[in-house]
Amino acid sequence: MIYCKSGGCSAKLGAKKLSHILSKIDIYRDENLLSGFDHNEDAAVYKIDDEKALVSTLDFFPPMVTDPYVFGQIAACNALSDIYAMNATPVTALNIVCFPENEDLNILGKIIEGGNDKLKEAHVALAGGHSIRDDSIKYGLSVTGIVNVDQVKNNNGVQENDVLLLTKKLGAGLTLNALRLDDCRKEMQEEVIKSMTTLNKYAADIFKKYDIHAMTDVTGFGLLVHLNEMLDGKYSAILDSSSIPYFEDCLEYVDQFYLTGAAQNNRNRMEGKVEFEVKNFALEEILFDPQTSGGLLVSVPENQVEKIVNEFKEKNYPIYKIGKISELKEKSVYVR
Amino acid sequence: MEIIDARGLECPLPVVKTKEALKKESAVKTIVDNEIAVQNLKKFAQVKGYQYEVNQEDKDFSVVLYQGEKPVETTEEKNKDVVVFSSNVMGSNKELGAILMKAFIFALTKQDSLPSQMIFYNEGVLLTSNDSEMLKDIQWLESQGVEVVSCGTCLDFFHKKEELKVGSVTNMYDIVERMEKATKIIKP
Repeated sequence: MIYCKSGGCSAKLGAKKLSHILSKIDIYRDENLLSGFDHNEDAAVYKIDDEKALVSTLDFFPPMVTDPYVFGQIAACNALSDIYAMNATPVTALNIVCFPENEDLNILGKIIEGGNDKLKEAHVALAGGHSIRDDSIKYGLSVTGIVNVDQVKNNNGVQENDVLLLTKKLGAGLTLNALRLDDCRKEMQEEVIKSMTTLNKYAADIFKKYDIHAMTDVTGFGLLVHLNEMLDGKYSAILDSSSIPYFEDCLEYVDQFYLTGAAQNNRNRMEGKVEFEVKNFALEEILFDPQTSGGLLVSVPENQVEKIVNEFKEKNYPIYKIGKISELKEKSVYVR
Repeated sequence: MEIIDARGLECPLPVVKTKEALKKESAVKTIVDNEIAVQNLKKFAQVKGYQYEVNQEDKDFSVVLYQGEKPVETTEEKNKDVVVFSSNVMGSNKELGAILMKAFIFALTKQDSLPSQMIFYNEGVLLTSNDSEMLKDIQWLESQGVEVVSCGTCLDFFHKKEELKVGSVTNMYDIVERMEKATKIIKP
């Protein structure tokens, strides 16, 4: 058993605070860096020759579940996800470990085993890592992937009339809070853990076959902030309130006010940019809810939607049509 | 009004604790140390139909949530001062000490902020029983919400158990607990 305080992606620093200091950092410019610091991207993309690019990312956080093996699995799925979100194939990974000196080392063993099992499933070689003493446990990975330069999927390639697809339900943050407060049904626990330990690889493998326009993974900034980054101030999105997927008990969790601070940060960040035409407080919170190891959010041309959705259904993978892209309007996102 | 110190707690705990307290009380004051927690408390108030008032106190914030009339903060709620009487006189000189004690108790009745409790033991119990000249003042303090307790063993010792005129009888366990919980102990 490990102690969970505020784990997973809800432990992220607010984007508003971050961009304030990051904007002052003067970085070395390299023209081969296709996507990096200045972009709201999931991972850094570095062109190594005319065809190939390296994709690198790192993600780590405190535990959000008490089972160390499950925590390791979630952390690995979450770290790998950024690579998949760039349409790249992960190849190697390095562990990032913070662990208290007097803590039972078997716990660390279980965490790393959980992480490695997901790497094996993803066909990614664990190449090493770095561990330091710390007051509390934190774990994650730095992952490197490879992608064909012309196949990089940026966040911001959306086009008008695209359909927005999402591959996992929302509400992981709310459900994890309920779990911490000991108010989460067993069925819900199992469902959210299954979702968080599902690699985005399977969804990404399907998307690779189609002409998609933009892709990102939904994590700590919640669906709306990630979607807003995708729109990049050039388009607006219209979400269909009745099609937003979420873990069933989240309505109850919102009613109990099991809301993270990160969700409020996300709400602040979207202030003035989103219009809720449907008055539904629970849905608002679900759309702001920080996800840990969340699904892929993909913008696909209308004529591809049916084929993609059918392939997901044939393989029995979850897929949700949540809205579409429109020309730029006054607000960035409309929920109707 | 219940006061919840939620500093150092991460969301959703400040809201969850406030929500629990509001099940028993019509008004709750929550102290938090970050703005996001304030925003979550405000959001809770708006969604659940409470009125709220936010005040910044140094680096912290206090958020009062209430229904209906705005709660008035009474001094009794904040003040956990305890006055302890171990003698019926103040100081070693009996004659002067009796005069001083009379003045002390009279002065207590004139304070803006009354103590929450008065504890009497040893010869202090002579102040709460029949021959005491200070009974009227102590009874008045009790009527203002000040809790008055006297040590049972002591009353027995002075054969005053039947003659207690104000407050209730207690034991040493209770006295120790009251003194431990006190924010301040005042000894004449």
